Amino acid sequence: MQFNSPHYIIFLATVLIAYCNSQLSLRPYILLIASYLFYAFISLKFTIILIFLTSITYIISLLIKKNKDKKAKNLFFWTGILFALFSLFSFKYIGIFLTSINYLIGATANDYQLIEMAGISFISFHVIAYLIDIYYESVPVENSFTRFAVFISFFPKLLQGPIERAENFIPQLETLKKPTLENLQKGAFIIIWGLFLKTVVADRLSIYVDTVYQNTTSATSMSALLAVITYTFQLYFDWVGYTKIAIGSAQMFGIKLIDNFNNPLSAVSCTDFWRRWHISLSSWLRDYLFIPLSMTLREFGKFGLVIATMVTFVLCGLWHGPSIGFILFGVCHGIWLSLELIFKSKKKNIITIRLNPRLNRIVSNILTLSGLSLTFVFFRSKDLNDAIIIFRKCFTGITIFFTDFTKGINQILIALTNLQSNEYPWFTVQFNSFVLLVALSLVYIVRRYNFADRIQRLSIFWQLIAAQGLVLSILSLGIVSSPSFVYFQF
Amino acid sequence: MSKESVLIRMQEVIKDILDLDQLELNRELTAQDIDGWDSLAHINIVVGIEREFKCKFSLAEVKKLKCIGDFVDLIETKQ
Repeated sequence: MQFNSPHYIIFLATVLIAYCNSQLSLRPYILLIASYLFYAFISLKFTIILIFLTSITYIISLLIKKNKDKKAKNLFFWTGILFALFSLFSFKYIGIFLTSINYLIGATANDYQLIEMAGISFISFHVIAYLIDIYYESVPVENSFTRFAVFISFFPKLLQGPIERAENFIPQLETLKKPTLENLQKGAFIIIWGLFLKTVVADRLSIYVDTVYQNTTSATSMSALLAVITYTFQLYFDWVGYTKIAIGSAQMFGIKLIDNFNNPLSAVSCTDFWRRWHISLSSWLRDYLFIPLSMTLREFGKFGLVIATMVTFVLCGLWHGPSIGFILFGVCHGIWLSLELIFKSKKKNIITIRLNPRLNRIVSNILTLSGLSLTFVFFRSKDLNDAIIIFRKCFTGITIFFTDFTKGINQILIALTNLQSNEYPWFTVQFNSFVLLVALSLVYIVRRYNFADRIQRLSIFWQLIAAQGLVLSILSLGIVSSPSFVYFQF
Repeated sequence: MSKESVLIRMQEVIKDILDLDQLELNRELTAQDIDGWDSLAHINIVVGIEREFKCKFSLAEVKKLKCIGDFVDLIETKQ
């Protein structure tokens, strides 16, 4: 059940009705049953595995709490961590692992019928973070199985995060109240805005991307360049759209989820980007991987920090999926961050170009976005070959810009107005570009003038007008070119 | 060594690492309140303080730190 399907809206409304009409003590149970039902719509097998994984982690957490003996505590802690890692490996990486083994020993490839469990990357990271937190006594052990199980499986965040922390999430379950009109309105508005970003912005952007990536060899260098830059925007709006729907759904139950993004497209360096992009994952990697690793390697100075950064980002790439493209994505980011770390002296950046601060920010932003877009080629390409073709075409496109700027601009305009694709006639493409221009301007205005807060202060009449305007634009201008969210695959 | 003198020496280390000449520490401040105190700075501060006070911190001890006051108390236990 995808967030952008009518089934989800019906499901959410049904759960809310049951939730509103139940006693206070029954509300955590309703959230838990709803979450398991939500998962069961995807697969009953997954739900049984999820219940098993949750139960084992819950038992281990109680054993860690009960045992004062350091050795026993360590034993239970590592059992829990290895169990979570084993689950992640078994349900995400085993297929590629067995194929690689077969390839190495030269055996004939088998068609492995293995389960790839949806959301396992997010579920296992919740479990690992919880076990580490209780081991180091950063958070108390949760005694209620229901509350713990809701923390692991709460349906708005189950499949694609945000990766919540026990200290933020569990206390909210202890004080569940009847949904207020304010929460329902606010939540509904956030959901509609998320749907707008997904269907009107991200899915329309995907037209320029898909046309190129479906047939990389026949794409022109300028349309490849356009697709590479556009994909960064598509990925961001697709995912921010998803996150808004998750946050809005949780808000309706009075639960506040972490906001995963802080305007990452305005980043002025790779370090800045990771402070703004997928914040729940980057802070997870920082707290549970980077800091422990760099603490261990702190005697080696900057070299230790570089090693910790590289290991963290290679694993970050691998977390997205078992492919060479994701690993290369992690390697690129690890190298980029390491260079920023090395060349940043204590007082100021070693490489300093004297520019007006505003101009400096704009140039840094453009360079950062360009670099990021190149690394996202590994995300979108179906294999390494395709990625290399795209890189070559981008290089040719950039050369055209440097040798003849007017020609470059002309070719970009042609790519924007005519995709040279049989699937999309020129008038469809021009209409698409126009809608996107208007939609992106709206997104800019909403953020620039903080409409999200302003709308809350308007009267109910104007709120309804704004919501209806958005719904109408979703129904009339929204498209579903990719029914699934991009991050669903992770 | 009094907690005040630990705080003053700590302040000098952090000022130097973060390049914040105007920084004035108090026990309630957290990493979020101090400009530039990110994960990299965090490691550098831990190393700088270990050198200044000639002690070693474990990961478990560092993980429990919530504010400057906690850091001061931890250093005091190591003296």
